[in-house]
Amino acid sequence: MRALIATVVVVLLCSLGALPQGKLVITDQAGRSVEIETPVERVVSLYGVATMYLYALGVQDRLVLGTYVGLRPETPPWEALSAVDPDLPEKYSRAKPSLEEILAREPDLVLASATIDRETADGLSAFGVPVLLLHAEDVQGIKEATEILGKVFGTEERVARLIAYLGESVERIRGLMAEKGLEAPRVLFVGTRPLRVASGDMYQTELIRLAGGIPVAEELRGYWQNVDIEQVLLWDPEVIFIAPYGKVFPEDLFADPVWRAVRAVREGKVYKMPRVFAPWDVPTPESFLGLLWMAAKLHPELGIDVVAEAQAFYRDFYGYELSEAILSVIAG
Amino acid sequence: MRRGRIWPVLFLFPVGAVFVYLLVGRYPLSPGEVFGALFRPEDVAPTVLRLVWSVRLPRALVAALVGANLALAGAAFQGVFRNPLVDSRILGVSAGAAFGAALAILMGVPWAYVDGISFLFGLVAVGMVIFIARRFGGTVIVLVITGVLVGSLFSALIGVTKYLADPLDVLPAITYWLLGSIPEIPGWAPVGKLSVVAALAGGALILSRWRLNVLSLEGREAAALGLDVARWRTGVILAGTLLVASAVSQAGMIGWIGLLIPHAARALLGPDHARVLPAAAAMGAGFLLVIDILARSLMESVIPLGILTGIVGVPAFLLLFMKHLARGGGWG
Repeated sequence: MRALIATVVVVLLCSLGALPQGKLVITDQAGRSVEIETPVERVVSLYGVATMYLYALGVQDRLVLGTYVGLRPETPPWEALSAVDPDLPEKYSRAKPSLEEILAREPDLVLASATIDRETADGLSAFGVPVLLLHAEDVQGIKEATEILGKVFGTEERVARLIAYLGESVERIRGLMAEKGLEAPRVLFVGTRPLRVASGDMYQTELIRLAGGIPVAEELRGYWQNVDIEQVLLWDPEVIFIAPYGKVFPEDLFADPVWRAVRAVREGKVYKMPRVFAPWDVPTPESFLGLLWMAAKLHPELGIDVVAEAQAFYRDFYGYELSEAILSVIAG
Repeated sequence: MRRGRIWPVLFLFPVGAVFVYLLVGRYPLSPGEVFGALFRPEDVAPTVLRLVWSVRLPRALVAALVGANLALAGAAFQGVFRNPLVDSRILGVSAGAAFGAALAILMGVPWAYVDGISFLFGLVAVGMVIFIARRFGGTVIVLVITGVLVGSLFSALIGVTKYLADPLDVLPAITYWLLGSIPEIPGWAPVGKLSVVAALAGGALILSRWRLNVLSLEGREAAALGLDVARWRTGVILAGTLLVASAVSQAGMIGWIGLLIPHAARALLGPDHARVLPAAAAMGAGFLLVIDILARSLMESVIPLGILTGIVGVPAFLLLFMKHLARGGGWG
């Protein structure tokens, strides 16, 4: 009897600790049904956004080759990411790797973008390599993509925690704003040039809305759009955010007499977004923190302590301690 | 090297290059595996078999045929227009074919039909040139000017497609296509299409090599020798157009081959088209194979061919040109 109980306990313990074993059938975000052998040990990611979720789920050691969001070697984000992934130089791919390069890494699974990688997916499928097409370009897409990744890597609990963090942040901002009866200011999001702005179809615009702002450029369609300074004067944004990448800084706008006619510039409310691993304005996990940072800038009355939030977030999801330098950037 | 001995070398160059092509790639295949796949397919792993037969071999043949077709067309055009600066892009055929492809990608036409539409627009462009030039006398200078104009028109139209394209998915596809590349998994259809055009149009050119020699004289002299100059010129232009349109429709805009290779052939073998045409075909095939080997092995991603042919082509052209001037030569 005792032997039986011992066996049962051992079996139970094993099944608790083990990775999901066997076959999984997953419907990806392009609606394809993909069969995957688990456990997945070798992953190639052609989708920079998806790559960043592997880090947040703590499975970066299974990544064997990946593209990253605007990451260049020997930069501060590179140093930061190297700290949580010492193998970064071996798995980093500057551009989309060729078919042979992907096959040479002998992946069990390839993650790719549902918008641009369909052909590559067909090519890889011919070699029997399963490809999941993901599309994490807005909050809904992020939820679906992370759910898929959670199933694949057996990290559902971590995914739930990550998505809960986003949901709670959204609720917290909404609740506090209602409680304090705050008005939503007009907000412009600027990219790699001062007059290149985020359109209404972009994640940045969704972040502005969730952070309690009114995106002035939401009528624009597509990707980044070039606009006229007269259009900016017409919008007269009360706050301007600048993307973390690119060479535009608040000082450039403060120094420009024409831009000084814009309310946000006149009142000094122009902010460059921080970046730790990936830029905080692209739909990676770190954008959840970008949302809180935005809300804190739009509504100082909410009393959000972004520095403490950031420290906890990076410690919790990446096991990473933010440096003094980056903390002072975040504190702004 | 004496001329008699140069022919075996010229034709072994592309054949040898195909073998090297099969051996080189990011996926580590041993020579034994490659030759096994070629000659004893039942003994090798399916991945190896597929890499050799569906990826590397058709890709090598596409590269060879595209190179041969562009070089042949360039040699024929240089003869007909009696101008050393002419290359395969004269008469707007490349721009037309590129616009056709860009338009097809923009309209979301399935990839299988993009090459056909591209080919068609290449013919349309040259049809326009011939039609317009005829009304203004159809002399060489009128043809060249009309060609430049129609080419510019189609370049502007390419600009329109890029402007209208969705920058997230469609624009990168168009841009990458325009830079020129051999498809990663071409399959055998492009090999078939290119071979048919190469055999028909290339064969016709090589058969009429003597008339090309006469056409490359002054028009009056040619007429005095009893040749219907206008008709033969149109015939050569049509053959060249088919060659260029087939190449561009499969591999995008690859510059320099149509300019550089015919000069190299002439530098080696003198001006006689009976020698220049077959030599240009062989050298064009070998040159593009070498370039594509570099494009696929230098980095983990594939470098667009248009970039590499330019980087290799410009210094090579300068070298040829300087040598020629040092010998006190003009062009003719």
